[in-house]
Amino acid sequence: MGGTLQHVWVTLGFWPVLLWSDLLVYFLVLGGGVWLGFALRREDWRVALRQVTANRIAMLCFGILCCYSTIGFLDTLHFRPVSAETPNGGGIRSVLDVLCRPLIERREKTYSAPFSIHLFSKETVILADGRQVREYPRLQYAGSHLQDSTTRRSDLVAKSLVGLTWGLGSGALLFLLVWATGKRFWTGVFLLLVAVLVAEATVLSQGYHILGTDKTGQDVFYVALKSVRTGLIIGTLTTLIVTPFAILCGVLAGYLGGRVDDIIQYVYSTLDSIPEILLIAAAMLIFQVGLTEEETVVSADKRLVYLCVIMGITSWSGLCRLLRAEVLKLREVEYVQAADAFGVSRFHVMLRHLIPNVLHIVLISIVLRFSGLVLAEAVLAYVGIGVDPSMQSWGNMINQARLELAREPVVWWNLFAAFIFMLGLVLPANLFGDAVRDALDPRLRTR
Amino acid sequence: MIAYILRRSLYAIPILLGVNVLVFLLFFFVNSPDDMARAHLGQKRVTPEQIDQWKREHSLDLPYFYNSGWRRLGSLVATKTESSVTFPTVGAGHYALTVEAPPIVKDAQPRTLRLQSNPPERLVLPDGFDTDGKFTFPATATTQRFSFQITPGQTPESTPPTVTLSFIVDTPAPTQRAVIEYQGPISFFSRFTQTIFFQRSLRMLFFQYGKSDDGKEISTEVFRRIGPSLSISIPVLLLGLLIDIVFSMILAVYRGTYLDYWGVTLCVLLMSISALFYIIGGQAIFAKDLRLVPISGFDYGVYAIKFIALPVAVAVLAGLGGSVRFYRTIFLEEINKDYVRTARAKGLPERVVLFVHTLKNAMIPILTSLVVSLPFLFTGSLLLESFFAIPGMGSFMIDAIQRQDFAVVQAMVSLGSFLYVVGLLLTDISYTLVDPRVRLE
Repeated sequence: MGGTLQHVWVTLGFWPVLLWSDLLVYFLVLGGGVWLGFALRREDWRVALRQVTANRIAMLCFGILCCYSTIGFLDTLHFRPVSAETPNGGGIRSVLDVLCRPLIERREKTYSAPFSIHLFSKETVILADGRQVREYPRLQYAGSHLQDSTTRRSDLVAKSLVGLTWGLGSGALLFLLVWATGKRFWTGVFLLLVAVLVAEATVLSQGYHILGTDKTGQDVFYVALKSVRTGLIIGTLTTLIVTPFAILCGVLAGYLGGRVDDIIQYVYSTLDSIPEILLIAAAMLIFQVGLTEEETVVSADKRLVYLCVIMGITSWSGLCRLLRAEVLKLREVEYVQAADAFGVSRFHVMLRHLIPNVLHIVLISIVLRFSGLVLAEAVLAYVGIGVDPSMQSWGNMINQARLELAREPVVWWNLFAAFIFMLGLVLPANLFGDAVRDALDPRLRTR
Repeated sequence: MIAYILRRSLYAIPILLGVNVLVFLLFFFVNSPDDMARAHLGQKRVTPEQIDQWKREHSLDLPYFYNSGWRRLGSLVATKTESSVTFPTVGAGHYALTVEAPPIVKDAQPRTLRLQSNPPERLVLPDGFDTDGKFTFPATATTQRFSFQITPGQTPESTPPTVTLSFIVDTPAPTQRAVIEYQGPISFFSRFTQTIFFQRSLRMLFFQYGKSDDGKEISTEVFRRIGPSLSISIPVLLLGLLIDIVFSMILAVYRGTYLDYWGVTLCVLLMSISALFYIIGGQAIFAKDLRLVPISGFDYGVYAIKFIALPVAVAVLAGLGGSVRFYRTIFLEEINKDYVRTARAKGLPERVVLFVHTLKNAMIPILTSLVVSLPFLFTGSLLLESFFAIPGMGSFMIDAIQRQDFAVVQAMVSLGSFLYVVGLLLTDISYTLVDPRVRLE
């Protein structure tokens, strides 16, 4: 870091950090913007877009996906806190970490149930008069504002009422704003609900662990929030990393035919014939052997990107095959034949006539693949070849919780949190994906 | 037809070969055999001897693709200021002595090497060695290779001659190493078969899987585990097919109604839940709380039924959403075809139209989509077998992945790709069997 620049960062108090996955996310956002610009200029895409926006359930799903994306994006803005004492910066944080600071700092000893103010396991406690008793000790942070544990229920009601008031208040403002700008009633209602949810979670999190704590005493709600980014990245980047390659190969194979077609077909049938999980396992085993020592966040992030690439390679062949088949059909269409007859160069035909007309297939496959990839992450974590164990992900949450199922009473809240957060992402993604597919390619309709 | 099958089988060869080479490159090139040995033996305090030993045990001391016949006899590491070692040779022939250069320049120092043999007259020393068998290296020497010979003895001998190698250095370091190799007789085929590629990879194409890291024969293990895998996967396939078809027919009959709409929505909901939750939930409810079946385990024969009931039920439920939705699409596609309209126009009752005409035709794509998965009945399900502790192929794979047993993973990839190719071939054949319009040529 240069001298003046360092001064600037110390004054600001942070120093931005760009991890590999962050870079890819920014590319993704940029690419999405470019694509939207392209789509809005074409009539066929505009029709499809109108059809999706007219579908109320699809738009509800889109709204939920946007909420997830916001959480994920906040967690992508990474930085190191810098001060005069630590000019090289502390550990890497994200904006989401700053927002969730109370959740991180209030770390209990071990498991505690949601909204509980007692630890989950009994401990020997020394009373004021020196006697020793085995009991469930009070939590260090959750409910520490309560003098008497019997007032917990009334305190919870009071806190949730406060949250409701805040939520309704800010939600009503949002509702009015949306209503005023275009009479969009349902958008307003959705925003109102989101506002209530956010306000409730914020207010209740001040005094309690709303989804309990895990084995190391960390707040499960925070872990689940951090996992959002991991899930989203695996779901989107995996397909996107290999998409340019798949488009290139698919179009080349379909349009040029002959030897090029043979080679490309050979490559994807070979990759296809390796069982997916074993290919991922083989690649991840190799990564583990050659692991270098770095900061945990950085190496975990590298592993995440690597996992995306590997999973992308296994899903590459499907997209390539689809595109090849579509280009084979397009090749015989009049406008392509005409372009060929006019002596337009092959490169130009591919760029101007073929690629724009197969892009809808790319979008459909990205959207439809998304939920499968999010679910696959959990399975890979179970097998031990998923994201780094130090990285928060739903798969890792399930994997850790699984070991505690034999306990009596059951430690259920880890699983519950992972279940709700995963279902909340995958179900809207599936429904939205169906709507997008129906709009873009009615032939593939399932409904 | 037979000619077609033969030709298709020939097409499979380059694909299987490609998989084989790809996995070989992944496993043996990205990490050198030395890295693998180090990873297995633990990173710290591994002597070069241990690495050599490990490599010999796993036939990784061979060259990658072409064996010129040179083989390692032994090595010497300068662990003391004056260290020496004696090897038995393999008799008369050509030998080579390689003195490795220290990888770090500042470790370089003058060193003296001495080569002797017993009986001494049999040894023909390399050029540059003095009559005493000594050779002194300057401090900046790079890796050097000397060749020497053991001459044939006068009479047939009971014990081959021995060579003694001594290393004299100022400061001992494990990077100071000398290796003796010999060139044995090697046949034309062995030049290619005595290689890592053949021994550890190509043999798998001929179903010779070798041994796992814990010394078990992989193919016997596979045969032992196919039974338990099949006892889960066959009931899942049959029961699943039956239930999926019944539900999708119901949705297709009531197409366009609220039942259909909510049915499909329910399917999407079922699809959106991770298989892990079905398994964990099933175990918690039916095994832990209701105590209807054991949580996990396996038994052979009739008693297997109480162990496989829950895994089968869980697997059918987990696959229900996706399959019902898929089959429903197929049924709807058939229902809109001309022959169905004709059948209705003839005045056939709706019942007959649906269950005789439509079902029969819709079964074509359904059955052919099943055929491709038939070979994978043998490989079982990774998750189910692992959660329910069923000693099948799936748990074999998962154990191998978690123990980082490269040999087993490689064998499973090889077997899996073979089954996949078989599945594709079966699909093509089954098309001709169920649909006379499709002709193979």
